[in-house]
Amino acid sequence: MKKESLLSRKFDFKKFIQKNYIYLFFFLVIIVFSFISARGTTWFGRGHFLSSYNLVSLIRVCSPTIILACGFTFIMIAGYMDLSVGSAMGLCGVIYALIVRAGYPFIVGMLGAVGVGILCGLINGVIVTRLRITPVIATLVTMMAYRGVALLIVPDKFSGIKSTDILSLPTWFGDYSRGKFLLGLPPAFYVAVVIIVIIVVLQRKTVIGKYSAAIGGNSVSAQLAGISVAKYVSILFVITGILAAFAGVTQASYSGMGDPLSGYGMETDCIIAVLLGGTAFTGGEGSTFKSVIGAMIIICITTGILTVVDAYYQDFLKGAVLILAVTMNKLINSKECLA
Amino acid sequence: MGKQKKKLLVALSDELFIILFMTGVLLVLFGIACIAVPNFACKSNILALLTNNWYLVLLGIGTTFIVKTGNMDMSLGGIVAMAGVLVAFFCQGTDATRTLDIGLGLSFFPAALLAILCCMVIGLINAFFIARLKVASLIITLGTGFLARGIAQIIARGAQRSTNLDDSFGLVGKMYVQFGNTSIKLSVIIMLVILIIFYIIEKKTVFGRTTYYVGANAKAAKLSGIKADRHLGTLFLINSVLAAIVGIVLASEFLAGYSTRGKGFEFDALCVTLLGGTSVAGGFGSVLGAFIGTMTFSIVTNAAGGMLLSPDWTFILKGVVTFLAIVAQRYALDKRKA
Repeated sequence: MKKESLLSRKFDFKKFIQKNYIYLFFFLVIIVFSFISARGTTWFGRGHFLSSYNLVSLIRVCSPTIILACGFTFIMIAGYMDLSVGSAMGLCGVIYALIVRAGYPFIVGMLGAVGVGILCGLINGVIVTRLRITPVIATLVTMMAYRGVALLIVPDKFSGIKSTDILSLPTWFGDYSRGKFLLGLPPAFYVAVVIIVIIVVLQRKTVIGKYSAAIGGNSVSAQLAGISVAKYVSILFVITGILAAFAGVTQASYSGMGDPLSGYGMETDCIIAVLLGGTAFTGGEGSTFKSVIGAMIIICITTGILTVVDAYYQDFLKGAVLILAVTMNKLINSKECLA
Repeated sequence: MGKQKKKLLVALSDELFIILFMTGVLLVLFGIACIAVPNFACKSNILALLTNNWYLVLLGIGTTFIVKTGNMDMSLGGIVAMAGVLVAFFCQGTDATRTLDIGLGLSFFPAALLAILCCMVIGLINAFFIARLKVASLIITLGTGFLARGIAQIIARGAQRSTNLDDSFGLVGKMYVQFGNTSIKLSVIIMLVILIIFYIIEKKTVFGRTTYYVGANAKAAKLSGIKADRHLGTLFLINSVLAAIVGIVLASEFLAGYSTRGKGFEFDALCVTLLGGTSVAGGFGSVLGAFIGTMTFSIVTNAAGGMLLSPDWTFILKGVVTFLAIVAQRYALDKRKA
């Protein structure tokens, strides 16, 4: 198949669509929302979907989701699933806020959060690989447990780690995801971009990436070929944990407090992003970068739609988009089988 | 054929073994709770333990069947909310000015039937995607769960429908049945009846046996002529009906359809199922286990409340207890086989 296309080098429309439909879809979403929000305002003017103000706020909102979608794809390519990402994110955010509120500098808070993220990932990895519990069930359990720990850390009568009479959050707390760094965008966004680049390189150019695809393709034959499945799966869970920590810090900084309930439903967002990105949910292949675009599509839809309808339509739309993503994913992947 | 029969026999006795094991755990936990928590063993508390979580038993029955085949249903919570809001919407009077007060003006039973039918549509979507398109059940049911809750939120405008309902709406949920000097909720009776029906279906009918086959080895089941996909679809349909019944009775009990009702029910149902000894990988499990699991679940949460732990503990407790249940089950089975 590959040889033929190399020889003929003809423009194959079907294949082009198959490969790039996600970008087209993203483009379509942007155009639709541009037209919808153009009522009563000028293009690129205040209140328009493509106004600089709205774009900056979209980028602020999407940073945690794109970071997590990256890790989620990675683990899904290996045929595993980590439903605890949202809870781990909430927990890491709370830890970060706690450390920073105690007077330590930003970097210590970040390191603390990453440490907790690694721990979360390790626990997942050990439960899945050593105790051999189905990943979905195992991470469902840890999802509840991490959320519970996050809720427990926050003292009674408070909804989150925020300024109190005695201890107050530093004034720079929100700068990480709200401040202006370059081009008016927050530092968190640039960190997210760096993380995405690292993950894409990890997935495409390194042994971890190749092995994870092999494990996702057929874990038994990967094991027989001498790949230590348990080791690499654990590494993947730890990577996801680290990414959850970054996402948690970003979210905490964005919302101005360590909210134990932040990241609720994040696993669904990640699943939608990954499916939109065309990663097969049986594992084996997929693209991290396309999932990032998928994550941006969801953010655009869930926040963009608020300009048109009331907030209570969000869940319905989320479900509809997920079902659409599943159908699309199925269509794309089945076409590949035929081709 | 003979070998297969033998294999099935082994699986079944495993199931009995695990259920007995989990019953033992339940009794031990009960004993510990009686010692550790003051007034735990009084009559009203035991009655509360047996009856308060009736809805979890109902959800656990459906989930047991689903988990037995190695699948999951995450749309339960959404369907519960949707059924509750829909039945309230159908029952509200037509004469009102505020949008949230206007309904269809049906009486309770037609409304309930209609709500169940609507929820079956969600179940049908699940069934279609899982049986026909072979989509992983976890993913599609997450989507339909959001869809169902979204419908509930749209109809209730993100809040609840509780006004303009006449008294007959609360008849089912608030009715008590007298047994001697104790009164038991009608919903508990409904739960027991459904439990018995599903126990008979599970043990005595072809349908129930097929579920075991599909769970133990879907490929072998398909090769031996069982329509495994259609069976799976039917199970998801049944599950949506059970969730709808739970939603309707809860709405009747609280005289309102809340759009936030049932958040996390899918986890609780899974918890209960696993605590009842149903195998995570599929293959065995019993609805009787769902009942036992619910009892264990209520003892743990009730004892935590009795020891004055903050409600924040419930998440961790649920997680830890489920985790221990899975590990204990695996350990016990390994020990037994060795």
